[in-house]
Amino acid sequence: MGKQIFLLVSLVFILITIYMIFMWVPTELNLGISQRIFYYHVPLAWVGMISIFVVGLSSVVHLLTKNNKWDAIAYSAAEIGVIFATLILVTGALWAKPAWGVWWSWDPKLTTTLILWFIYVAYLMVRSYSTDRIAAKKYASVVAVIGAIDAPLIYLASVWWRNLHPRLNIGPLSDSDSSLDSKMLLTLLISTIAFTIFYIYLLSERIKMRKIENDLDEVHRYASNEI
Amino acid sequence: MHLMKFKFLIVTVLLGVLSVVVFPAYVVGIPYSETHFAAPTNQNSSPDANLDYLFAVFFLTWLAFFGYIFFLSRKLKSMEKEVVLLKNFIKNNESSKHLDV
Repeated sequence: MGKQIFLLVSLVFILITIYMIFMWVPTELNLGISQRIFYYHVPLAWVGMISIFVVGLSSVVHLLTKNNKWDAIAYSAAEIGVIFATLILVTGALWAKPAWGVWWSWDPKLTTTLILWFIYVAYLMVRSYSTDRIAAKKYASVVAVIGAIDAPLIYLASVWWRNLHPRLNIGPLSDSDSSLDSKMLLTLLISTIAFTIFYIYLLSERIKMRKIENDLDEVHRYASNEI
Repeated sequence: MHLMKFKFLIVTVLLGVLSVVVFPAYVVGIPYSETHFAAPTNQNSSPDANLDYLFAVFFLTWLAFFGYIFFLSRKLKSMEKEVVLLKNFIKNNESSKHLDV
């Protein structure tokens, strides 16, 4: 029942977000309509970065406690994280084309985000292709911790290195010259809440499935030993 | 699980349709804000310019979520099949043991 509430709340917030993006928030002066991509791009990036922290932290706890529950959390977060990371890159490219005239630039923020995507993929590949399950968990955990280090780098890239990507618009490190309109800020906030709750819901369902997958593997191994 | 398999698929499609097809029609008439981001290098001044990029973003985002949920529902189906197979295997195993006794 608890999970269904998460689903319901996330759907309500997503509907409000859609309304705000398309019917309520004003159009940005310079970038025009394409700026509305911002209200999906930034929350997706937020969730993509949160997810790698979840993967890293759960992997470390699993290594310390050997409790498979943490491994299920890490694997599920990595699987969902790769989708969000892919969407960060895709939505970013679709915004870059009208704003900068190019689909891609080797800007520090874009490059560190691409590295995050490779880290997610590397984590899942190590888990999928290794024949030694215990060793695979250990190696994948190292990959996840590297990913968790990459996330703050992505956030700070536009502060440390000035390039094509705009500086931070909100937060303690934001550029005072580029403060957001209150309506834009509220839309961004609601959208971020919507995607975060949606992520929590997806993660909880995936963890549940992952536990069933692990149980089935155990039963298969038991059955093959019986034969 | 079953709730997720059916209701969530339908809801995702509906949300995708709303955000991709219905709402973007209204976006052109909304007034401009006074605040601005970094100066663009390649901006078309027409009010409905770049609407196709906005469309593409919303379409691809919802397509990705739909695809992932579809992948999960397929996985769930194959797990249900596995459970049935394992149940049959255990049942057969137990009945053969009874026959041996």
